[in-house]
Amino acid sequence: MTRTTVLTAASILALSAAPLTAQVADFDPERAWIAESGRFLPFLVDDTRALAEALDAGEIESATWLLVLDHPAGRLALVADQLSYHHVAQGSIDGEPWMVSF
Amino acid sequence: MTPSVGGKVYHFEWAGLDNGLSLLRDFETGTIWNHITGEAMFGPLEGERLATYNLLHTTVGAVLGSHPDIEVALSDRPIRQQEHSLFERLPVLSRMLRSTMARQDERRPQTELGLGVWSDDAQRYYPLAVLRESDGLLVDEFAGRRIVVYLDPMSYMPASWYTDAETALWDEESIRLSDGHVIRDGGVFDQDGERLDAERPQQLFTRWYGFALTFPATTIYEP
Repeated sequence: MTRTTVLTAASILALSAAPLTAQVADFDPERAWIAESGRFLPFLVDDTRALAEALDAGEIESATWLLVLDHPAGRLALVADQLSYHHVAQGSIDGEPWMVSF
Repeated sequence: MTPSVGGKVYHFEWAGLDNGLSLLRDFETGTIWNHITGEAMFGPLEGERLATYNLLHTTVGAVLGSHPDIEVALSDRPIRQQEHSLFERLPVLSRMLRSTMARQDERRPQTELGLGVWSDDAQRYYPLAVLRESDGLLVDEFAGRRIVVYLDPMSYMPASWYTDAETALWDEESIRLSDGHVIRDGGVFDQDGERLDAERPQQLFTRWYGFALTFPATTIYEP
């Protein structure tokens, strides 16, 4: 497997999302269901490979549902079915941290 | 998202449910975070917010058409193949899920699918059924800008771009915009066929209840 080598534009990160001023629902800790830690293991990503290679190797199919992170540090595909278990995946692209939740 | 605050990287896990949606928790402080907006909602980091970016739904075949060199992160979990999206597995909300919901927004069916789009100060929901009735393609004014919303012909997932065009028409599996640009293969191209560095609004393919309870002031697209 090869490490992600998507070009990083650190300067772009400085343009990270502006403060969210839209009306967002309040959080009520009494209403929420808080699970104990460790219920699902997050996917800690330290290796990636070319998607085309994974397809050629039969590890995934053309119709496999993906989640594609469109991050300033780069673009990365994750398999939705795997994320439906992990719920969280996290790693870095050229030293820039990213995280997705699903 | 970018999982850092003030230059410090935090590590996250699934933490439960609120409003029927996943919560996140960071291991370092135990703070509870909103998984859509990136807001720290409860705990030591309450009030902080992670920078959020689009997480686009697509398929292997579709994304390879637009980004043939893209890399994938594969975990050790088995991959169950499905003809339809995982969303189709949840036609009814469970009692437990509903118990975490502050209320129900009755403007649309709770489990209806659609594309939620938001900016700093506005949100709009594009029901999948309405998008299909519009032949899978529409141009709308949103938060002072024009956007094109469509059903991607390869992935069958809804997607959106900002545009200057006033109208859009299908041309087989491409979309011809009135400003001369073309949407195809998951990207926007100019008249010379050069891929443009086009901008997408923040968007999420989700169920109505999740979007409506996250953004109670959301509007709903009407043709």
